[in-house]
Amino acid sequence: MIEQVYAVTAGLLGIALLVSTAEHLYNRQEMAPEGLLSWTVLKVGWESSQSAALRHGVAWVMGQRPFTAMLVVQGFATVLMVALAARGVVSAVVQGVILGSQLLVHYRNRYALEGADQMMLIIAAALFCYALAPASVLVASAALWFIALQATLSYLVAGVGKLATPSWRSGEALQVMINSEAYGIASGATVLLHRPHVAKVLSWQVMVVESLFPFTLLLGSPLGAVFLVWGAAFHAGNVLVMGLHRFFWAFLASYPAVWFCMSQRWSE
Amino acid sequence: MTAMMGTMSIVEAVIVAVLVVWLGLTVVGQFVRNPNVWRKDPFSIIPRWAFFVGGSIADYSLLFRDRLVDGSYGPWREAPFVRRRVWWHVFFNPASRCRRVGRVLIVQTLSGLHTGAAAGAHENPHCRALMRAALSFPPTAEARAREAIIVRTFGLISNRVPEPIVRLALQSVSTGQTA
Repeated sequence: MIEQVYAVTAGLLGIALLVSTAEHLYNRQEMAPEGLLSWTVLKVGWESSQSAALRHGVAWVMGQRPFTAMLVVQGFATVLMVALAARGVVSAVVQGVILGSQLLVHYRNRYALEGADQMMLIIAAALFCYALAPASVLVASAALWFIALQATLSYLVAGVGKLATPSWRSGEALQVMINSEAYGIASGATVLLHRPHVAKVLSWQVMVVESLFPFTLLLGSPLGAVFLVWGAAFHAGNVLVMGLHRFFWAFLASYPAVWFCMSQRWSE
Repeated sequence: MTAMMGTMSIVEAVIVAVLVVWLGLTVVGQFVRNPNVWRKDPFSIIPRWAFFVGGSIADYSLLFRDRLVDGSYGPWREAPFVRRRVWWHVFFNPASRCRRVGRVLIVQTLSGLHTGAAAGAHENPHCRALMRAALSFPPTAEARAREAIIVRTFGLISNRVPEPIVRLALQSVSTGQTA
């Protein structure tokens, strides 16, 4: 069963990584020295007391051509990861390449990072751990618990944080968000602005379910599965309304681990 | 416990320890508000899970227009990284990365101007980075028609509430004669 969980996780992470990598590659012109995604721009505010030699080396690695080449390598490694389904010795190398390249993507794109990138890194690290010791049941379980606890923690923190915010409790924050150009949609904004009670109900639904999400691990299946179904629907809705398409695949990739831990708890 | 430790290999112990520490730091990290602490995590390994919590969501726009050789100005245009979503963006939306970077730079620029952290916009590193990138935006149609741009002017607009609805910070940057 554990191998199947890893295979599904690798498949979903593969989709998330391929979408993300393809988007970075599409933006490669913006990585040129004068572009918005150039290292000259992205390093602003992050320059530290590095030595001149180190700064020069980092600048070279983060330059347009080397970084584009790294992205191509990451794309091939991702295809291999899905094909190998996280098995075998080659898998450790492949997972290492993916984890290393994701760390470089994180380093370069600190301005543009989002929760989806962070979840992809978490899952890539867990798959790398599993690939290092594929015969170890302890490592295999620990890596899946790591993903599951990070996923449930993410919902808990987001839910409790919103509960502590007055504008979320009143529904106003959701209205403003859906009415924004960055994360909104005109038809949704019209509905929520004319029906504030709908905004309030939706806000409370999100806050309560996010805050209770860790109970998936306590409730076990099938009751805990309700949270996973809600989560998948929630992220699908966020894709359509808020344009958070990378979140969908990245967080869905954590669900097999949550399912595994939920089932494990239930069978004890 | 001792028996378990006895059967656990060094590799297993190291892996489990790394995962436990990582998870522990993640929990602690959710309470950290000091931005200087986050600078110690250059690879952003510790996730911040508080999505859309706290401050209100605001829209920010970067506008630009070109001054032509005859001294006249073309119309204001919105930065090209601000694009309306279309149906296929549910699968693939590379512009959202550019938009996010642009948004952060604008927020940092306005924040610097608001707090007076910098003597002026030209002193603000985020503003300089933003203007530098904005110089590479393609010229407006009017500028292309007259084959020359000598100055590009920028405006930043925000609808952030409850602070002033619109703030304008104009910058002029010479791009050199391109005719």
